Amino acid sequence: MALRRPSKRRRASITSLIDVIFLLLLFFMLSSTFTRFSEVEMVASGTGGVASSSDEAVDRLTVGTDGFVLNSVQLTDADVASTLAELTQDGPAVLAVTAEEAVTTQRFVDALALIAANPGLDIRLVEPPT
Amino acid sequence: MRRPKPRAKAEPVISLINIVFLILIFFMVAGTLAQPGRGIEFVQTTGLECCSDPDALAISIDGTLSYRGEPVLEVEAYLSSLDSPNPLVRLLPDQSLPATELLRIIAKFKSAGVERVVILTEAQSA
Repeated sequence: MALRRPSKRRRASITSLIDVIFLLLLFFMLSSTFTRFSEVEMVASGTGGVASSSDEAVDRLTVGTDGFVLNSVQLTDADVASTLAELTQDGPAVLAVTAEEAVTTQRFVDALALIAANPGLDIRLVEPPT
Repeated sequence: MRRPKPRAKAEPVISLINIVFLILIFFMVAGTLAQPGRGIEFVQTTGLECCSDPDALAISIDGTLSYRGEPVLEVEAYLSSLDSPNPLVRLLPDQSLPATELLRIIAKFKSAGVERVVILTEAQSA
């Protein structure tokens, strides 16, 4: 059997290579996203509510659309940090956080960032009363 | 006058392929393929630790749940589809979702025995 090589091989066509590369490029351009995500921990108190920590004083903070209500005292965004700092002056405090009906998730996460700046607070998310 | 060599014609194609390859590699490396929560406007945050896994249970503006494009009717059904016994539940809420609704959903997960719930937010470069 004479398996003779052709004396001159044709070079592979570059056009089909480009076709495939363009297809891959198109696929990755259309399907990839560049959104970067962060995580915000949600520490809820579960079904037991805040009653499970009866040995500690629990402060109740309600997030409003443009302010807070801490134990039925109205607070603005600007002075919530200093007021919460007073709470933690004599040891760690438990803070039950809930939200008003009109509050969006964006506002709530911003509010959590304000609250979480205080490291002495034990934050528990509480389901709003229905 | 001499005619140019026939080889010189191939060069523009080669450089074109080089650039296309570069763009291809850029999109392969820099982009992520997972598209969580179609139609969800993400919550914006700055200054948090960046780049966590975008695979999450999406909560649309009217409080309906969906996971990888499939609607999730019950919290328990989603939990049983997860493999690990004590999973970390990742939620991706719409930024205009009422926070009370989010708190109710989180409370459902807590009463189902989930210990850690995190929500995903879009990291804005500060």
